[in-house]
Amino acid sequence: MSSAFGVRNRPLIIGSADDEHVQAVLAAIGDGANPLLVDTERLEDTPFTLTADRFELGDEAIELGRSRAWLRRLSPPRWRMGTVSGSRDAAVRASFVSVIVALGSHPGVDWLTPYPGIIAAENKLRQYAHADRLGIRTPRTIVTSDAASVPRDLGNKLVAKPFGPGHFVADDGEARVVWAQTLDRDDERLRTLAAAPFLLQERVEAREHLRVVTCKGKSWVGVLDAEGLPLDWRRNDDAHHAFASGADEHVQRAAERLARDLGVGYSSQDWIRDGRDAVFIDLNPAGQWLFLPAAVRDAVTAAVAAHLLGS
Amino acid sequence: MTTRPSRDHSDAENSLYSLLGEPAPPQAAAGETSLTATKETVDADTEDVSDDDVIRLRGA
Repeated sequence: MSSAFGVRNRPLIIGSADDEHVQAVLAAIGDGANPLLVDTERLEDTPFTLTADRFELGDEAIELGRSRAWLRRLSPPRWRMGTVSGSRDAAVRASFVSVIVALGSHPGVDWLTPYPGIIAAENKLRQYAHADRLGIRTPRTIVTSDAASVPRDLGNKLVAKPFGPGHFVADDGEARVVWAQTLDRDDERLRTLAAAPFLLQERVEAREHLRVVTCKGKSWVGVLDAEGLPLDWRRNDDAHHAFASGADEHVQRAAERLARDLGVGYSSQDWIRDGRDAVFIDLNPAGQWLFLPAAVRDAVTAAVAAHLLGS
Repeated sequence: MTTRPSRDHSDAENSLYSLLGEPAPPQAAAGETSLTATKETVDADTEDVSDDDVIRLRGA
């Protein structure tokens, strides 16, 4: 079959063919677009050549000055996991990642969001700084090594959430998740803040959780009734499938402005509606959307595909 | 210039990561592709990119 997409303008996706989000976008863009798919694992297994303006992978090639691209994940789960920092294996690992980073930050490629933009936007305090200057309501937040420094106006019930990754592998090899949790101000565990920085926030009483997905200036909303759910709704697997498609003009415009201000072409944002209005909680520049209702899910998939196709 | 003595990182055992970390639900465990909202970072499992890389790219 002939294709309108050749080496000069074929779409580029950084991610794995095993990733459900990649699969959904591939299905949406169709076979004719002939996308080139790569991540660190494929790079290890396939002969490649990268120059300033051209990338060849096996018998595929792409000219980087004209392509449109989406960065989903640098590497598949557990790729070269357990590498000791500073070791030779770590250097080897980093060299493969550097190839992907060179692609993911190439200035000639029209990225949905380039890699440096994704990394910078993941920082929650930076997100709040952008939200504040846009007049978007956020929970009062502090990061401190000393619990005594937490202002009284954050209340006696503090929400603690990781400032670093929200998951890790413990010494026993088992995966752990750190959910957002409510701690009393005088909770002994807050004495450990010097050992690892955490975000401490005022508790916002949720009536509804919103997941707002933005893509290139458009947005879609999933709404989850908070009644009966834990503070962190992600604890409840069923909650992932209890979102309803919704709309909120005020929140959507704010979410779109925030994404633009942070410089991300795509974002998954968490908001809370309390008794007053809506509060911005956090933004994931590489977040998930396939668990949302079909009306949201399909629209987001189509928007990502449209970026890759230039349509 | 004064330098701080090399730090004993065993205090990580007493961080909120250790105190609040819970076994990951099966669908969110490392090594599985996930549709859930538990792991949403671009390099979810790893410390893939050195700070040097990020700083260089930001400054580029």
